[in-house]
Amino acid sequence: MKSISIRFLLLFGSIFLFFGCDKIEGPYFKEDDTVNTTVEFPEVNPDTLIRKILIEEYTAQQCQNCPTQGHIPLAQLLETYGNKLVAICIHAGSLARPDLIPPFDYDFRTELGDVLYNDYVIAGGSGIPCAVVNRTRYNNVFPLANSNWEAAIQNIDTQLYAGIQIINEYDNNILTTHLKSTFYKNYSNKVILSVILIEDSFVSPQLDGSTTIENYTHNHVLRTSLNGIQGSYLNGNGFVAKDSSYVKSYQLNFTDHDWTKGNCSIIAILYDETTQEVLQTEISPL
Amino acid sequence: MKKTSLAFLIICFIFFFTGFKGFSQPSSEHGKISGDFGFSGMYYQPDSLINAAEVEEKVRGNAYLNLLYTNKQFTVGARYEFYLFPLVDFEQIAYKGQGITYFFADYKNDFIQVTAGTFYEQFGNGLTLRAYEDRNLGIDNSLLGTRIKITPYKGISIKGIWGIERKNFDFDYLTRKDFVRGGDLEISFTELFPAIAEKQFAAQIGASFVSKYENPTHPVLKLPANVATWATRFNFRYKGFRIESEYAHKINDPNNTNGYIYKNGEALFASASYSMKGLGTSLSFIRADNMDFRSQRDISSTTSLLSVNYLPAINRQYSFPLLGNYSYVSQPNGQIGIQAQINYLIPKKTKIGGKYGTNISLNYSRFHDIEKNIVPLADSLGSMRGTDGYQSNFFKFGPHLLYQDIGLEISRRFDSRWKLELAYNYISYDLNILQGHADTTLFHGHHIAADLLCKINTKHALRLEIQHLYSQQDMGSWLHAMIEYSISPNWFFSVSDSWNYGNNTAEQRIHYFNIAASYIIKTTRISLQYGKNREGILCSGGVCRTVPASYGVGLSVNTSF
Repeated sequence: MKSISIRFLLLFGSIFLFFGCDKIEGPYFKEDDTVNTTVEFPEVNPDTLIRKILIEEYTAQQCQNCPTQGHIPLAQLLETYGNKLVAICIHAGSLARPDLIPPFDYDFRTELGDVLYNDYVIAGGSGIPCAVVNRTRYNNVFPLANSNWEAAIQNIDTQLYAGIQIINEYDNNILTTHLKSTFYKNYSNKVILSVILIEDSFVSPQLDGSTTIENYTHNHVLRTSLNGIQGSYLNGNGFVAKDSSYVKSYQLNFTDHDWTKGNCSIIAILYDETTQEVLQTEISPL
Repeated sequence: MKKTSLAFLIICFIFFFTGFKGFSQPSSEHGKISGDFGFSGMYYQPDSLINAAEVEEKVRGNAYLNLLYTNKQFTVGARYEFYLFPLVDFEQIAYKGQGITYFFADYKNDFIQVTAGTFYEQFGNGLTLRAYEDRNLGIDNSLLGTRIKITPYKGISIKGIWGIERKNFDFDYLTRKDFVRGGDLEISFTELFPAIAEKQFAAQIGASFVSKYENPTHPVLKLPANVATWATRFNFRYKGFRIESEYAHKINDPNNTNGYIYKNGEALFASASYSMKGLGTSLSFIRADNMDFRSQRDISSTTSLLSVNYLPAINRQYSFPLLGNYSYVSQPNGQIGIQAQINYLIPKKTKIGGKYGTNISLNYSRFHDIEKNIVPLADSLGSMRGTDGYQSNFFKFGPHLLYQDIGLEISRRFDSRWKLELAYNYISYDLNILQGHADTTLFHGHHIAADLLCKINTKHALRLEIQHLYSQQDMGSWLHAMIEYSISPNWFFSVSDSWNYGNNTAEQRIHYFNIAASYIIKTTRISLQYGKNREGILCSGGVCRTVPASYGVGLSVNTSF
C-alpha cells in the first residue's frame, strides 16, 4: 500500500513539475501590430486638457442586479461628470456565459474582458455588478460597489500627466486608429497604451430582477482591443519623457463582426505598467 | 480565508489548547509552547559629517515575537512583526509594516510530514530553491502554501512545495500572479546501507526541480509563463576526504536582472577537502551564469526581494569591521571563482609550536565575471534585450577581477591566560560591479589585525583588537581599535573606534566611536550601544544590503522561552 502511494505521488509529482516550464523559440519580440501613421495631428494647448477618469463596470446579461445597481448609477455618473468620465462595460464571469438557447444566447465576452475580470474582480474577491475606477484602489480594494464609485472618482488626483489625441479613419470595413500621446510630466515607471473598441446602443436581452428585458439597450460594451491584451509600449522600452509625443496607429477589420460602426467608439488608455493606475484616457467615436 | 484570519486562528488555537499552562508547566498532555522575542531600537541623532540624516520620529525600532506550540507530532506556530517605524536601514529596503508574517500548522510522523501556511525550505545547496530568513539582512522569502515531505525508506527523502513568496509586508496575495512549486529527492546511501558507514564511507545524491509561474504579460516580448530550474548533486566522504558538487540549469528566464535575455542559465558548485590531524585543506569552485531566479521578473537586481534560489558564497567570511565594507557580493548572473585554504597546526610542545601549538591558516580566493560574447543579433540591435544575449565559455574567467583575497592567519595560545591572533589580508575589490559605485578603479587594501585575549581569571576576561587597513582607493586608510571586558556570565562592555585617518578629504577623517554594554541573564540579552556607524554594506553568505550611516543610542532586547 505504501509503495503504491509513493508511486502515485511520484507520478503525479513528475507530471506537475516537468510540465512547469515553457521554452520560447525566437524571435522573442512580438510581431509589430502597428501600421503607418498617415495623418497630421493638430497642435493642442495643454491648458485646455484635463485628466480624464476611466470607470470599468463589470456586468453580465444574466446579472439581475446589474441594471439597477450598475448601469443606472453609471449613467447618472456620466451625466454628472460629462466628458471627464470615460466608461467601459465589461461583460465577464459566469453570469455572462451565454446559454445555448435564447434569450441569453449572445456572447458579450471578450478575451481582454476575461483577463481584466480575473485580475480585478476575482482577485479582489468581489461579485458583479462592481466597477474599478482608474485601476486604482479605493479603501484598499479595486472592485467597488456603486455606493463608492463617486467617492473613488473624487479621490483621483487631478494632475495632468498626458494628453491623447485620436483620429479614426474608416474605409471598406477597415478601421484605422491613429493616436498621439503627449506627456507633460516626467514619469518614472513604464507606461502602456491600450486601445479599445466599445459599442453603444446594442440591443440584446438583459435580466433585471426576475424580469427578462428583451430589448434592453447595452451601452459602453467592450468589444475588442486593437493592440492586444497587454497593450503596447509607446516606445522601445516603455519609459516616457516630459514634453515628448508618441504616435501609434492600429487597424481593425469589422468584417465578420456584428458591430454597428456608427455606435462604436475608440477608447485609449495610458496606464502605469507597475501600479496599473490609469494616467489618462480618451474616447473618440468612429 | 484571509491570511490574517488564519494566523489569528492559529494563535487562538495555541492558547486554547494549552490553557496557558504551557508557559509555566509544559506537559506532554498539553503540549509545549516555546518562542522568542526580539526588539532592536535606536534613538537617532543627525550628523551631516557622516551623512546620518535627521530622523523625524527620533526613535525607531524593530520588534517580533515567535510562538510555537508543539504537541507530539503536531506543531503550529506564528510570528508577529512590528516594523511600522523600523530602523532606517530597514526602511531603506522597504521592510516596513506590521502583521502576522509567519504562521503554519505541521504534522509529522515517520513516513510523512505535511505543512500548511508559511514555511522555509532549501533544496541541496540552494541553487534551485532557498526560502529562508535572515533577520539582520531584512530577508524573509518564506513561502505561503503547502509542503509535503515523505520518507518512504530510511535514507530516501522526497519533498514537494507549492507556494507564493513573501514580499516584505505586501500581503495582497490574492492579486499576486506568481507562485513557485518544486520537488526534491535525496538518497543517503549511508542510511540505506549502514555497512558503508562502518567503513567510514558516506555518500548522498540528490536532484531537485523548481518552477515558477508568472502571468506573462508584456507589450513587446513573448515571455514564458513557467520558468524552471533543475539541479543534481552529490556528496561523498571517505575518512578525512570529502567531495561535493551541485550543478543547476535554468531555462529561458527573461527578467529585469539579466536585461530580458532568453539565454539558459547554469551554475556549478564544487568543493573538495581533506583533513588529518594537524592539517586541513579545502578547494572550492563556483560558476554562475544567468542564475538570478525571482518570483517576479520585473524585480530589480539591487534588491534581494523574491529570490527563489541562492548561490552560496564560497569565499572566506571575515568578522573584521574594516573588511566588512569590502565583503564579496555573490553575482548570480555572472561569476566564476575559486577558494583555497590550508590550515596547519604546528604541534604543541615544540620549539615553534609552543606549549599549546600554533594554528596557521593560509587563504586565497579569486572571483571574476564570466566571459560574454554578445550574440550577433544583440550586436546589431545594440541591445541584448529580446535576444539570447551572449555565449560564454564555461571554464573561462571573464576579463574583470571582482574580488581577490590573500590571507594569512596565525593563532597561538601562550598560556592559560593569554591568546593572540594575527591576520594579514590583501584585498582587491571591484566597487563598481559589486556595489554599484561610480568609481571604476579597482580597490586594493592591505589589512592587518591583532586580537589579544587575556583571561584574567575564570570570570573576568579582557580582549584587545587592533586593525589597520591601508588603501589609496575608496575612503582611504583606516585604523580600528576595540577593548572588550567581560564578566562571565552576565556582563560585556566594549569601547571601540574606527578612524578613517587616510581619507582624501580632511573633514572626512572621522572617528566612528562606539560604546556598548550587554547584560545576559539566562536566555535574555539586553544591550545598549552609543556611537556612530559608517555608511556601507552588510553581508551574510554573499547576500548584502546597503546600510546608511547612523549616529545615536541603540537598545536591543532578545529573549527566548
